[in-house]
Amino acid sequence: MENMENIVRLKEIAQNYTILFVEDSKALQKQVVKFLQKLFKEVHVASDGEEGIEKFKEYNPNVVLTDLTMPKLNGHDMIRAIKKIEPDIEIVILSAHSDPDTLMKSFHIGVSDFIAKPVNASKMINVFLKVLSTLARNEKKLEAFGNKAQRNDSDTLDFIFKNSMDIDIVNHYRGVPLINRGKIVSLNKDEIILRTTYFQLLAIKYENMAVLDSSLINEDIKCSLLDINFENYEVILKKEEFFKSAYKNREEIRVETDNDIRAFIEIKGERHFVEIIDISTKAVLFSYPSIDEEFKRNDSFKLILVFDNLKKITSDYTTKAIEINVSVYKTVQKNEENFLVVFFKDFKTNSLLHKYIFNREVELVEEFKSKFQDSLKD
Amino acid sequence: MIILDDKLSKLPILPQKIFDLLLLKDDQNYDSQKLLNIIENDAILTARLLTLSNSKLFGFNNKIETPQKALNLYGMNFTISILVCELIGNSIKFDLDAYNVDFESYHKNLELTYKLLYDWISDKDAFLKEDLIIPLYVSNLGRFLFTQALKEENKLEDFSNSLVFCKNIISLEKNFFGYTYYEMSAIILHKWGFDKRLIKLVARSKDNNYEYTRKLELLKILDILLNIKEPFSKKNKLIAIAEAKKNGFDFSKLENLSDKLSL
Repeated sequence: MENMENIVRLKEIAQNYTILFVEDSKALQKQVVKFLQKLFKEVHVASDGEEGIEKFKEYNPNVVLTDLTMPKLNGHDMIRAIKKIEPDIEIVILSAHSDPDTLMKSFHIGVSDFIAKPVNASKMINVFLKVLSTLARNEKKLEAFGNKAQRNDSDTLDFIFKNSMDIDIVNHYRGVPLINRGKIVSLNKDEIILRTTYFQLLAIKYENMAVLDSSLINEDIKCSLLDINFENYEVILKKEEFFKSAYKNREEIRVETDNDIRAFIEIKGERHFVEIIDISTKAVLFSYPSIDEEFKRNDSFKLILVFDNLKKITSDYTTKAIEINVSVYKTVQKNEENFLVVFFKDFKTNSLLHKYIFNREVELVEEFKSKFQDSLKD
Repeated sequence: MIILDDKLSKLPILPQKIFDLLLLKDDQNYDSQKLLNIIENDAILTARLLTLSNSKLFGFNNKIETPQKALNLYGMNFTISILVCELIGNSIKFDLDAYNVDFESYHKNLELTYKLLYDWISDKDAFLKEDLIIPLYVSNLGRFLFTQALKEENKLEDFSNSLVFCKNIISLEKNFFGYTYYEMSAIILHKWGFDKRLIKLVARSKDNNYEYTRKLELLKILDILLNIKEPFSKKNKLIAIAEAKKNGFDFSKLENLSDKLSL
């Protein structure tokens, strides 16, 4: 009788949600999908971890039910990838492996529940009831709070503070991002007190500001520094403005270059010197003082990078220059100077540029640390 | 006795990356690509790994230019241990003024100890060395808190003066704070939410498990060598060698290595 009641309750809740089922066994797929289709609004199916990620991105389901042992990409790795896209997604594992290690690993990566094979309808009903009830409760919470597009970001900070959630603190040192998490200790109108790491406090002190980033906030919050207490690992910041930060979309670390790298671009058979501002393994920002040319997006040409101090970068120096085909992403004019951001069209990993950037990261991090060595020692 | 509750309630927030790395270390899948992605997307981790792999102690004949190369040479466990220590070290303010120890010498001695550990213990006992890097590093966190508390209570001079003449630092610490340094370090790790196994080892708790007991015995030998007052002193080397002999470790190899490294 209790089971009947649970089925009825589950149907009521589940009909509002979509589910993605990831399982490589076709026979089990057929069996379970038949069951799920009686409950959920939509049921999507994938046969391996890679397909699971693709279908997740395409259909954005509310719940994922997945096997662990699958070809191409296993369940745990798929879950980690999905959690990066949607950290709060409810995930249930359906697996024959129910040893403590597997279970603990699953819970460490944020899995909501576990159903042991062979599949048992009663167990599935209980687990889905629990998971979907949690989902429904959280949605009511967020509904009261408002959706991301509508809510006031001050309310968001208040929500983060009251729920003791983490927030990322972003700083930069000469292009190198220095990011650590922090917790809001106190919130008062425009003043935010955060606790974070010692290193991050040094970075905030250096820049005299910080950017706060949370997945709940549409835009980042630029803050100025009011005070730092190194003994308590706390910083007092003042909210200045909300803005869309470029760093989040940046896949690669960009570093300010030094004098050991020179750059030229080749246009219509002629080489022109350009001055690099910063560079990553995917893109470069440079100014072009001596070129009388109007660039527009998608223009292509060759970029030549010359490394003048190879010994510093590598023990394998067969060539000191590399050529990369690039495409213009955007043009910028600032203080009567022209800048271009270009993306690399063809780039080999482990090339000289890759090694240069790693070396530059080391130099800049060591430079930052030694700048604050006295602070670190005292 | 100085109470440390207030200091314990105001510890820094640790980067989530520490726990992600530890999870990777415990994962039997040995996902080196995942580890590489974490390292390459973090300039601090890249810098630490490449600096270490091009250092005199841990470097090789050729320059190590990329994290991939370093990872191939050191393996996942050692790499993760070093990176976790780096992240913890960057989170908390270094302060051993009460012990008259500065940042450079402390880290230099720590790296000498890692080097000794790795050269001394054979690969067939890899489990011993791979799991001791982090406990060695975090064991002195308690002393950072001790130092800061002494400064706040204006008792730094009292403690430092007592330290000069005391024969047993641990007794001195217990008198001042009620805890040994490693007990305090274990409390800190507990506050931060670290794994119980690590906390237990750092607290120097006893256990019947053979592997754990061997790790504890080894940790005690390294504690003697890395004595905060007289690291790698002749006296402490002799004590450490005797302890190694007593516990069935290769004490003559330890003797040779500790002489070689402390030159």
